[in-house]
Amino acid sequence: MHALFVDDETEFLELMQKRLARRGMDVAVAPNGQTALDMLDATLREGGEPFQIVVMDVRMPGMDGLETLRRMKEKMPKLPVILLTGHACMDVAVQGLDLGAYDYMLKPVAISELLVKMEEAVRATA
Amino acid sequence: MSSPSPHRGYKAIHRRVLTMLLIMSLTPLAALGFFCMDRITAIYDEKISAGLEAVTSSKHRALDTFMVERIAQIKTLVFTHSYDELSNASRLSSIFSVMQSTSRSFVDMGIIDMNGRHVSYVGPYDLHKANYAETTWFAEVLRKGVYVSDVFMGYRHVPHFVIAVLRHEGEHSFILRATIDMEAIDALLRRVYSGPSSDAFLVSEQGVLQTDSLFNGPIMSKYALPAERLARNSVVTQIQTTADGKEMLAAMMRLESMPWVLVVMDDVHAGLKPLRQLKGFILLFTVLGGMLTCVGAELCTRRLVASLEAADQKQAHIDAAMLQSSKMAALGKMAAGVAHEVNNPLMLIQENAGWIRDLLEDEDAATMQNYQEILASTEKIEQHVKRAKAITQGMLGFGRRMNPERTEVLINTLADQAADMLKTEAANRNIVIERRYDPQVPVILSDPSRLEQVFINIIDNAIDAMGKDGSISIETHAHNGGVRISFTDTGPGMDKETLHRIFDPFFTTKKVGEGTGLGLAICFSILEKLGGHIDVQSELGQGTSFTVSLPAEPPQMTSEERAEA
Repeated sequence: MHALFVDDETEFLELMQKRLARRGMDVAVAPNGQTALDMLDATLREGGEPFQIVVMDVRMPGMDGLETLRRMKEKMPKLPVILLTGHACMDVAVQGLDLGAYDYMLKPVAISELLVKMEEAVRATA
Repeated sequence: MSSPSPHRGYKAIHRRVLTMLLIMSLTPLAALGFFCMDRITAIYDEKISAGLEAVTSSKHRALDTFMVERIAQIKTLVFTHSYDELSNASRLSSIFSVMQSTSRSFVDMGIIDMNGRHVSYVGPYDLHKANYAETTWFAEVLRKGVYVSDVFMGYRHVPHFVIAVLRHEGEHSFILRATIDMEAIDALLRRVYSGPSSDAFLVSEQGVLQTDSLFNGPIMSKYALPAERLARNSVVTQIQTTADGKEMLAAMMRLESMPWVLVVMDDVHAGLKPLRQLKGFILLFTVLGGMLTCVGAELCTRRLVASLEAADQKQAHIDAAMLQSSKMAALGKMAAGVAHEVNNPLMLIQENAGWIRDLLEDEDAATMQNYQEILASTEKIEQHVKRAKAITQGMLGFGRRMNPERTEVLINTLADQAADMLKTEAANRNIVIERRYDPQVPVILSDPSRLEQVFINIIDNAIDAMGKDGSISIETHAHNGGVRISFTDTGPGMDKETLHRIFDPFFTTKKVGEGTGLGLAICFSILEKLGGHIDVQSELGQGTSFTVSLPAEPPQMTSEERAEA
């Protein structure tokens, strides 16, 4: 599975990359929304391996997760996006789902649960 | 610093209000009573005096008329009859008979010569040998021509008074002397005024009684007239005390026809009896009114202070609830903020532990020194992350604003669901869950999942508090259009300090790691948003009872609240 993780917490990105790689997953990381969008553009433009799923934090400096999600959906409406955040705010969750997010998960989440959710999302949008 | 006890405060208010009420109501009552008594006394005094004066005046006229007529009668007799006729005893007797036939005013009558001896006499006494030459009246009549004496004893040794008229007829000079019948005078006095408490009598200017007096002694006794001379035709009244200490009102008036004073006395107290009764009634009504006012004021004050106390208590409840709400709101915000910040590092701790676990999979457990220790520690880290996660999620739930769902809720069914969730746990601990539902409870609009969360929390707390063996009674009933659900356990109860802080976030009596202290704070917060509230009653050793009250429907959120939710 080719996944993109977007989070301003780079240590978290590194860990996810390492741990998911051990589980046979190809994980790319982006420290902010703009980088993530650029990376998506690059795959579209250069015809690289497309991302099957995006896991993204909501609260990030600069462009926040919701705005990034909106722009991602403009480019790739079918790309499944899971919002993963430490902020349990009902409104944000609802907005995210309205913008087309597949689901909303609260940190800290067990890697097994996250994997299940990711696979479920990929299957659902395949 | 100790604050004064509220009970004492209410006592002081009670005292002040009562004093004010009594002053405001008793003062006018007493003033009215006093004014009435005073005015009535004055009017009555005036009336009694006026009555006595009128009696005195009319009696005075009657007496004067009597005397003037008698004098005129004697004068007419003496000047219309000759000496020869009058000195003839039988002729005098027949004239006297004629006079007495019209009015029995005289006792006797006689003709007396210039030597003071009777020439003729008609009457009951034997006075033929009497010589009046040396008597006062004889000298006075010779000097004045007509003379009316004061009462004296004379030769007959009986009090009497006389009218004497002198006539000179040719060579004869003689005096016609008639004795007034005292009975006639007495009758005049008695007729006008009589009774056991009244008196009427005549007194000479020298202060000698001319008639018998009921209170001042028999005829010819001394009687003290006022020092100043009484004017004619005017009545003087004054209070006099009799020999036996009786207070009498006396009215005095001088006679026109003679130097005598008519005195009419009346017993002030007998006269004032109706007034005394009236005064008694006024006093009674004033006192009764005063007592009634006192009782009324006391009752009013008690009611007033009781309502004040009730209102204060209600306000104190509202204040406490508001304080709790604002405390929760502030803590909630802080808790949510803390949770947000803690969740990210928690995720990192968890993932690092996970990474260690991943790496351990590559190692050979048999050859790697401390393999088991590292694995065990990793598990411990993950376990504690889970615990911390439970806390932060609780904090988030507590801090989160919510827009309550509005679904039809059957409270009995909901209570059943909550109880069923925990019935196995309860049964394992030999705890019985009794359900006493009122089948008439109305269907309400509320948020069933939140309510279930509240019920489960309360029941779970009760089970934990009891440990084992006991019962939880769940009762529902209709209340003010909404419903009331009470959860009563037979647990150990709580002390006052615990009870006071029971809804405070992070307050827990459970062991570290067993409770976050957020459960009841969240319940409180949820119920507040649903327009209801939760109350607790508990006594050490007696168990605890939580009562949840819910309205028929939750309040509508304002647009501001909705934006914040």
